Amino acid sequence: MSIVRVALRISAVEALKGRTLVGGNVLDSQIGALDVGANGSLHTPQERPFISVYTDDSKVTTGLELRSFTKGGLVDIVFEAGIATPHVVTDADTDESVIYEGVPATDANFEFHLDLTMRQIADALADPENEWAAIFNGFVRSFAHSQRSRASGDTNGVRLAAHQLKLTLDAFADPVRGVALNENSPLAVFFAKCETDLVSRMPDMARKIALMRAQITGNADELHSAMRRYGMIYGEADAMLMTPAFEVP
Amino acid sequence: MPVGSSFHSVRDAVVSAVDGRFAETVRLSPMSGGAKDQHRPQLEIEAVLRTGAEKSNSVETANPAAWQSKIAAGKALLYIDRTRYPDVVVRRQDAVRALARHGQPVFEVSLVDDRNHTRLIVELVHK
Repeated sequence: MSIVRVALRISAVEALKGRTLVGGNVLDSQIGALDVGANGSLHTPQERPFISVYTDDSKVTTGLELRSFTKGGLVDIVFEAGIATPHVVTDADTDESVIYEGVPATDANFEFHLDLTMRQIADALADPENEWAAIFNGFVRSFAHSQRSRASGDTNGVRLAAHQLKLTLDAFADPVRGVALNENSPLAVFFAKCETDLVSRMPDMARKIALMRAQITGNADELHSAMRRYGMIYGEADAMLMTPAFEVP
Repeated sequence: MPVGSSFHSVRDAVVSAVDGRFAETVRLSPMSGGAKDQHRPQLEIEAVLRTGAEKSNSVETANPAAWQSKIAAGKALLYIDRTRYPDVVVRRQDAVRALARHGQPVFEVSLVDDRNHTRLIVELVHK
């Protein structure tokens, strides 16, 4: 469900930063078009080869019980890597362009860059020394599918090529409201890592963590957490003999 | 009656008059395999450069629903007077820099139409 999706996405983005050819240019759920200014020598950090990470479609196909809407189900996480002619470095005198030192911006080298970037994404997510990857994988029960596709073109004002990796993973359920997080649980580790690593450079992160925590804190009454887990109203829990005997609702 | 020649002279007069008003200085940088072409030197010419409005497109225009990433860019066309520059050769992936424009934007040749009567028409993408 939602909190695990947020955590999957943020930990995937952080797991990739600085570990691929795009460096820190890993974008979280980029919506708008990547635009590049006319002055080629004044590139902002985003005007470079990029990776965008999205948590896309998800589907719970089994185990919904009554209303177990906290279930994670099969979640598509999409990694898109792209490179376009305005993303490369162009010499102001010769107008020669290179992707990086010694590698000219040819079609073949665009494809090389993307293939290598995709390999680096796979390596970063499976790197035992990558703490963010460990957190990411903590939310994953198993990986169901992996799918690659590519796109390219030069008819819309840029010459570009892009690769997409779509991982369909079986995600753990969100914690039920009111059940205290075990300090070794993936989500507790995720919150702690966000607080130590991200809050200082992303001021909104503290507020977002507070909002996520608020969504899952509450009383730890066993009956209520069981009812929340299966989405039962009192009458349903009562009919299943889960409510204490003689209790007045 | 020499119809062809009178038509050509009118054509050349029109092209020259239009260019006199609308042409701007651009620098052609011929490329070969991503590096500068040793056989075709860099060249500054006066030609008409038309840049279209930028808009956002999916990275995969054939199947935009399958892709999230978008990129903004606009097409551009360069019209070179063949009478004034009879020897100019433009090829795909050559660079064109608009020296007279703010920021001196640079373009890359994506297509060359050399069958037109009046001018060499060069389709450009952002670089």
